[in-house]
Amino acid sequence: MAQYLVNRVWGILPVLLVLSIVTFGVMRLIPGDPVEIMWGGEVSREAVQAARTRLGLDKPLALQYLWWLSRVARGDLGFSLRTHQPVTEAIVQRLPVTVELTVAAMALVLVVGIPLGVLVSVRNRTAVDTTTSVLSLLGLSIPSFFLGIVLIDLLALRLHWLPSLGYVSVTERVIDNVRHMILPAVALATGLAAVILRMVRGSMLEVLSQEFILVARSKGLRERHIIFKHALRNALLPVVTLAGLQMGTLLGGTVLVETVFGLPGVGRLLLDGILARDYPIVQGTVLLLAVARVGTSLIVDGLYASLDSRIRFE
Amino acid sequence: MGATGAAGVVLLLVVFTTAILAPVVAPYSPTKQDLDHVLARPSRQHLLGTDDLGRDLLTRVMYGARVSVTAGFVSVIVAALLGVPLGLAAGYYRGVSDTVIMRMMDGLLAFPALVLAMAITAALGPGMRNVIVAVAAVTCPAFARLARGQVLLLRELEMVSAARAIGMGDVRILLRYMVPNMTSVLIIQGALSVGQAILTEAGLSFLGLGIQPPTPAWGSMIEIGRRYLEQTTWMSVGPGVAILVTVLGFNFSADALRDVLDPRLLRAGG
Repeated sequence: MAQYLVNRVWGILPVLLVLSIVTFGVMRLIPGDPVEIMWGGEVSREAVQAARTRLGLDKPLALQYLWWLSRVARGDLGFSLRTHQPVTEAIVQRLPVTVELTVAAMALVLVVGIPLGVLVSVRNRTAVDTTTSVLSLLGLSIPSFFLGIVLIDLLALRLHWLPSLGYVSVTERVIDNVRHMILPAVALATGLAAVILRMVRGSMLEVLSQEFILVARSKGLRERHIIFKHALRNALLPVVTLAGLQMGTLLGGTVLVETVFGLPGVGRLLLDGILARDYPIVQGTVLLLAVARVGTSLIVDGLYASLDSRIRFE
Repeated sequence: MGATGAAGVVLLLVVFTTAILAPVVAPYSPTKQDLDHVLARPSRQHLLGTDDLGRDLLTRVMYGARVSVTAGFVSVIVAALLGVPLGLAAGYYRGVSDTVIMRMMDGLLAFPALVLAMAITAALGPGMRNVIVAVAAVTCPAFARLARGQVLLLRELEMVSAARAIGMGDVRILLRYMVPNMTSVLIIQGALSVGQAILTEAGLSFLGLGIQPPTPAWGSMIEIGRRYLEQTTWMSVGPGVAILVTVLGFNFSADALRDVLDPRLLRAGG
């Protein structure tokens, strides 16, 4: 198991290298000089040159990259051009909102997607199956930001059941925090819940058609026992991998959902950074979201290996 | 083809017809402003109402179909044209080229798609061409991985060994034996990817990083509607439903295509 995880970590290093090169390279494509963007073009050419030298921008691109990478490895992502706040500090301030939103959405995805997937698999080719399949395709096709607006309109502005915008920290008032998070989490989770539902259905149908299920039935085991103890346990293995892979969709979706619901998270920080051409903020948040995705896939791999002994001994 | 497949084809036909015939069937010009009738509710004159500048929303939704469908198709075609040859080369030659190409693709896949697309449009600037580049960049790795996987399966077949034995060149083997045998999975991937590409384009436009006003893009129309949500709820509904219908059409069609082109999944009950 430990060897397996070491191999996985080793395998991820080239991915992180490519990821850092892309993040660094894309930001260097932004038109205009970073120093002039920082100062708004209202300083002398000498001052700009001095700043370029100080920031290492006059060095060859490869050296700039290595310098940037060494700073990133020490947790130094530079300073915001707009607020002069350290980027790491800005991200850390906003991270709890994004983490809470993502975890809440993933919990909803699993709580809704898995039981419904099991239900439609045991009701295969019935009205329940058809209706749920169509609804899941609807969930898969609706943009999270549009669903968010529909939820705000119906449940916040018309029925006044939940707040429409804003965020209250869990350390301030727990109930208000939960009330503010319900609609964003539902908007973010719907698409992925549909994916998981379809995956569980397909995986369950495949497992239920295997011989060991036939043996279990012929031994007279109760259907509920067969479905939950034998079939679901095996059917969930590919679902774990898929859920991990889909974390990218969820993390990307946080940008849209945080924008719709006015949540001060990392996604919103990224968008504000792009709109203000604050490239250290953009670089830092893009890197963080990508590393978070890679980290999640590593955790999922570990989980998968612990669930399936065949992988551990490969 | 089942009922959902037929529904998918009908939905896509409606969207394509609207996109092609928008200049003929749309009741107004998509940029014509009527400042006396801003934020109007749906009426006989304006079936979906008007936006904050008095522009007819039905007209803009119809023209928006052109923008979304074009962005979706062109970006997926570009992604396939880049990704498939890379996947072919990686799978066929293996070794260093496989490692380098696939680590690059893994690196791109490591980014949440929308986040990478946002970073690319931030660097290149907004607009249709740059949106297509961004969406193609995030879609390309899926095609590369798929093509590589298919080559790894196909290269073990006897027909490929025979072609090699008679001295057939690599490019000819790839074009004659590999590509035709992976067309069905590429088509299914293409149909799914166009739906996803339309969602990504709409997301970028919603965030103000995609196609810019006054060009009617569904994502930016929803964003304008969001600003006036307390006064009128109609502005976001038309473009939102348009995205839903279009993506649903592609998802239904992809499901139907999978059933038709890959019957193994039908037998497995999937």
